[in-house]
Amino acid sequence: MFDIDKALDEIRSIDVSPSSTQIDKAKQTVLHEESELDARRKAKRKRTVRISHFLAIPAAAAAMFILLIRLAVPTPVSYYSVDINPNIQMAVDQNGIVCSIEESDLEIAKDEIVGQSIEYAISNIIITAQDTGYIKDNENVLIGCFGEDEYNNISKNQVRAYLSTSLREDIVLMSIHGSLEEWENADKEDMSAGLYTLHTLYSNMMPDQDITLDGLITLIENEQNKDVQTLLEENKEPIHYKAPQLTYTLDGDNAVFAWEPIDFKKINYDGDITYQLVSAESKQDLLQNPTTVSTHTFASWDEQPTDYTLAIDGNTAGRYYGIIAHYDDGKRVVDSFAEIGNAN
Amino acid sequence: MILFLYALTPDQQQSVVEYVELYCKDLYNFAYRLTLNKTEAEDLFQQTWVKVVDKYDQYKIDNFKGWLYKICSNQFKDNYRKNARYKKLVKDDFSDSDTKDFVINTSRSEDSTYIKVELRDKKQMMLEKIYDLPEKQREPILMFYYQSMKYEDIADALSVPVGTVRSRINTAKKTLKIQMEGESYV
Repeated sequence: MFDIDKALDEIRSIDVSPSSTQIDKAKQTVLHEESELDARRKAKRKRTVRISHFLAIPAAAAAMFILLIRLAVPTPVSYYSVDINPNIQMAVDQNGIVCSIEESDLEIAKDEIVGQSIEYAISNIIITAQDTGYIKDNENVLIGCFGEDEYNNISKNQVRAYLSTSLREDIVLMSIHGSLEEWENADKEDMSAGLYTLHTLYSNMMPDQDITLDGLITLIENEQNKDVQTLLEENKEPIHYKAPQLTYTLDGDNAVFAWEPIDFKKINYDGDITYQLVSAESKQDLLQNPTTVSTHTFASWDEQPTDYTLAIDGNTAGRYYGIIAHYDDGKRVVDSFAEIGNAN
Repeated sequence: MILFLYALTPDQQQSVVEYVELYCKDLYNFAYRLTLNKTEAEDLFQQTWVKVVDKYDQYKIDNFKGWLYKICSNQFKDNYRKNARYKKLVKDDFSDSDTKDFVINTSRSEDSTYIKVELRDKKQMMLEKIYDLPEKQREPILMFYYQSMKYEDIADALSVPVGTVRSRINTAKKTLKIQMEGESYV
């Protein structure tokens, strides 16, 4: 009898580590060595590109200079803080992926955070905080987002979507936005950037290094006579509603409608959305009296639909087409239309 | 014209270096469990990072670790196929089995980059059988035993319920047991 469990368990129990030389060699591969593919590409280019001797030296120098500059540029473009008590701070790249996390009292595996989207990382922090007893009923969680406007957005609803229903009900999730300057000022004050910004925006008191999130919320609500959630909502950037720009191409007897995805974070929208592809006999009727061709509902952080194929026949030719974007606050927007003429 | 030497942007390089730090142990463990040999594990480990650099533009940001394992697994299969071809050449050229083994062993000891020729060990044979399994059984068994993933994480990665993962692993084990016994590994 072959003991398959034993054989497989023996495999699973192997625990080895790469030597530091192996790790360094892998890093060298990433940073300094040409990959096999690039070497081939370069060799191919060398056969076809001629650079005169006069141009070759400045070109090589420029290449080295640009390379050095690019290598020296740090990757983070924004910084996030999560205040649950304890506080956690993270650096995030331009794709919204966490590059690094600061040491914190909250024990969490680095690979649960680094390399993950900021929303997923924050949800992991909240889940871990609950597992380790930091989160109780009705716990306040403050997310601080710091960076240039286009990079300091967060989808709180996406964070919530990663949490269990009960955990979602146990927390009050708030977000506050600030500049890199505020991040640096908070660092100088030795405070979490989220707490510091909340403090400086809404309290007349001097920032206090030892204040907790709950303590600060009480302080502000006493000073302002309003709850902090309302204050933060009032201070939020308005939504810049958009609808997709519709184009189409003809493919045999079909019209292929296509549109670019919308960056909902950039327009400050965080929620469900429905695209309604509609047709009408006139442009005016597209919004007032449209006929629905198809509908697509999705969350603003989900993968978006970007095309639709329509068979052209007597019923579909000779009409105007557009996409109405329905936002969940009732706003309807249509931005462009396509006119498909009669087949003749 | 300026020719850039790197396929990765500096941002990407930074990210991949961080991934090296994050996943080096997991990846090396995986490589070692596949090859069961230190030198070959080291080669496979390095080959995987070279492939990561080459293919990084195809990486969609969702699950780097899963993508990394897939590259490593494919590289291992490529190496294995090359070995199989080499083995066939040796077999064709030398009818005498003693001479063949001598040639194989000599090659292995003299060439550090040379990758394993014969899968004589039962665990290596078992791995060969694992790679012959249907994908639905192969993936969870590799994830559980070779990548040390938990059932819940496998279920997430494959978008199936945890119960399905358990049943696929059990089915795979039954198949492997029959096949290994068929190979007289008892």
